[in-house]
Amino acid sequence: MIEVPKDLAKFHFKCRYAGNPLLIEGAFNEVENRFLKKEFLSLEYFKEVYYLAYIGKIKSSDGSGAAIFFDYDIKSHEARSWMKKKIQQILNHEIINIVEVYHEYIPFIHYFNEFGYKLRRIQTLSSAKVMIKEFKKNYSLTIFPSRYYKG
Amino acid sequence: MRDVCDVVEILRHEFTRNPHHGPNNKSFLVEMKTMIEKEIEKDHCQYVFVNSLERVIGHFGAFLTEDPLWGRLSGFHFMLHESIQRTGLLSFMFSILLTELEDRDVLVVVGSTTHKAIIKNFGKLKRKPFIYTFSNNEDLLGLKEFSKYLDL
Repeated sequence: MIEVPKDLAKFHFKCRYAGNPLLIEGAFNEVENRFLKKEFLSLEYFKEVYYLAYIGKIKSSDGSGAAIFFDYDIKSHEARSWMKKKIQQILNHEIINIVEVYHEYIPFIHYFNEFGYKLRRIQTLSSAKVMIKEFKKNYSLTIFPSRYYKG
Repeated sequence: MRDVCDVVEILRHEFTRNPHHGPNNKSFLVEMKTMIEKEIEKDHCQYVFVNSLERVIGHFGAFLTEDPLWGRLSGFHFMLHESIQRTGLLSFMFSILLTELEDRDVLVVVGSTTHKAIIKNFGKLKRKPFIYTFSNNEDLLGLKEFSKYLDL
C-alpha cells in the first residue's frame, strides 16, 4: 500500500475546493479523511517549498482499469510541465480507462482530448437556491403546478 | 416490481440508441435496477413513474443526502421513453423536483451528464461544471461534439 503524505491532503483541498462558497465549514477534515483513505496504485508529486502538483493512479469506480487523479498549481510553469510529462509517460505506456479533470484546468481538458479520450460525463455543482431562482426567471411560472408552487 | 423492470427496459433502449449516455451492458442495468429498488424504499424518496395506460414510459426522481462536505445535497435523475421525449415534460418534472428542494432546504445540487440538451441548459440554471471525466471508450463522443455548449 502506498503511503500518502498527510500534508498532501491540504494541497489537494486547496486546489480542488478552497474558495468554493458552497463548501460547508469544517469540510477540510472530511477531505483529509477521504484523501488519506484512497487506495493509490501509484503516486508522484512535485514539490519545491510547497506542493505544486501531484499525479496518482487510483482504482477506477467501474473496476475496469486505473484512473489518473491530479491537481496542480496553475501559476507554476514548472509544475505544469512536470504534469504534462508525467501524463504523457503514463498514457504512452499504460491503458488508462478513466481520467478526471477539474474544471479550472482547462488546458488539460484539451490535452486529454488530443490524446483521443472521449467525454464520459461532466459533473456540475450548483446552489439549490440559485437554481430555483434561475428556473423561475427563465421558464414560465405557470410550469410550476399550482399545488406545488408557493410563489 | 414490474414498473422497475419497465424503467430498466427504457434505460436499455436509450443506452443502445445513445451509448454515450450510459452503458447498455447487463451488469450495469442490473446495478441500476437494484439502485432504483433501494431508492424507492427510502422515506425521503421523491420517485415518480410516468405511466401510459399499459406500461411505464418514464421516471424521474431525486436523492437527498446529508453530505459531510456540502451539507444537505440532492441530485436528479430522469429518463423518458423515446415516444415522449421533446414534449416539454422535462420542464414540468424539473419544476416539481425544484419545489421539493425548496421545501426540504436543500443547499447544493450535483449532477453529471453528457446529455446535450441538459448541457445546453447549464448556463440558464447557473450550473457550474466541476469535473470533466474522460474515458478511452470508443462509444463516447469527443469534446468537439459539445463545443458549442461549453465555454472551453
